[in-house]
Amino acid sequence: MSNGLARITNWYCRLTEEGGQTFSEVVIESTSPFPYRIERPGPGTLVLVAEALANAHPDTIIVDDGLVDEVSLTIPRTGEVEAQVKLEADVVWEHRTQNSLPFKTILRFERSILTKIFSHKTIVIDPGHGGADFGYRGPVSLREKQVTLKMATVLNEILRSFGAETFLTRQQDVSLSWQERLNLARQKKAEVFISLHTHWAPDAKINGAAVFYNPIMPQSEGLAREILARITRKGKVTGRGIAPSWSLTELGRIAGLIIEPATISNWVEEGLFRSPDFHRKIAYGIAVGLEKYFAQQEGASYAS
Amino acid sequence: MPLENDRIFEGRIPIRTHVFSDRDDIVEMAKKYTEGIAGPGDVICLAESVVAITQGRAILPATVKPGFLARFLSLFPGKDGSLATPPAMQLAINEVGMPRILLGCAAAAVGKLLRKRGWFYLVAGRQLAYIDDVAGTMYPYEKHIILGPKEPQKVVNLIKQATGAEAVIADVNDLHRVDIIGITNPDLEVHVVEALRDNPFGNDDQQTPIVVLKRSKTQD
Ligand SMILES: [Zn+2]
Repeated sequence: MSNGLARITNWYCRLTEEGGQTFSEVVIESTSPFPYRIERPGPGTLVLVAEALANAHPDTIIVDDGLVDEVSLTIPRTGEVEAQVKLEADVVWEHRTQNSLPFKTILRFERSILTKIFSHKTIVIDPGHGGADFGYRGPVSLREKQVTLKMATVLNEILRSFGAETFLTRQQDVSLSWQERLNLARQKKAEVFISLHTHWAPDAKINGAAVFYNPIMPQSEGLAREILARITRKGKVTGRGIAPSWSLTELGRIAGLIIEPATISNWVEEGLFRSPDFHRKIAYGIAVGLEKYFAQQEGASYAS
Repeated sequence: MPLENDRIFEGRIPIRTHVFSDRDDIVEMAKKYTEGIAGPGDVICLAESVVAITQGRAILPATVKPGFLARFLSLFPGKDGSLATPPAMQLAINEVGMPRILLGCAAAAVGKLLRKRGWFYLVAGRQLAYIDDVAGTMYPYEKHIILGPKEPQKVVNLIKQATGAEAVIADVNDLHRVDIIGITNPDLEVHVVEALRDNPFGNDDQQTPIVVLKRSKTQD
């Protein structure tokens, strides 16, 4: 190919599994191997300095996978490329290469800190509506009950990969009463109950996400705020705010939330609701919000 | 990634780019991003949506006023999921004219009776199949409707002139269907289709609308 320096063509972050452990991997792809060194300028930051050229556009990827916060590529000078990884916590890591075309240079971070945070945590996920109850309907006829089930399925997979114990109130298109949904959370002694819905407004211009919380469980409010911040950042939707919902008070000490990640009556957001990418982003937003919440809870109990 | 079934390409290199806009020249961008990577024999592949975006063909639905016919026709499903919103249907009408849209709908109705799919696009125009409705494309264009690229064959020829490499404009959907919209060397089509089947253009987290297929050195 070229006789000079290797060219960096792409980089991304992915989750992998090996021997029952999960990892966040930052992968840097290039046309050939390049010499590099790794620096640790401060806690939670790791920089790979490569002797290479960059064909890839230098910018920042917001990863937000619960461990890797973001990865930025910069070109301090010609012939040198820096990949900076920002982490939520200092964890065990290693680096390796994979001889293929494109060549891969991989930074691998162990995610056991997450499994520790989520172990022994029970979360009940409630896909809103179902069966004869269709929920709201979008202008291009998308049904709320379908969207909530799809989002719940993705959220369930992600929370399990984080190490949580999860239960879904429904896995099929069946109808359930609100009471039955809340009962499952109480029966399973869940820490958190999450009911997924879509917002609807008569004015088609209204859009955005909102989170409602159980007002008699004081920490619910902070969790709602954290999750709204994450889903608006990741899903790139506007926030309509958080508010107490009296329909959740029966949960008592369970942190209960009703999450509306977007507005189905706005047909741009109805389009978002059709996209598996959007479902995945919202699910990660919720999962990372929960991670922050559980980590804080632990911190608080250690302190007391 | 090594390609298992066919060895005409030894590797497939996706290139991460900035977010293209109508201020970018697609030929210049193809040249800049593949510099030092793609040479004679290699194939520069471009996602059709970014070619269209650089041509100013990303349209905000709020700026389109769908007429009665667009509202009415967008109610009918079975157009392979696209043209589901009234503004997208209106843009389709603007592209090929109302008579062809109506003929396309008639063909689709007959096709339905005969259990043949795709007759709408056959009659109304293949280019309408490349209209990406809202949320069909990556951020920050997920709120736009993206029309198909204009003059795709001319674009790939210009890229070949500028780079020396072969060039392709392709549409790859989630169902692994690959449509080649423009190609400098039609003999390569089957190999390119195979190489793009699992959509290396990626989703919006992997913003790689340019992919270089490296030709094996061991062959021809
Ligand atoms: Zn609802």
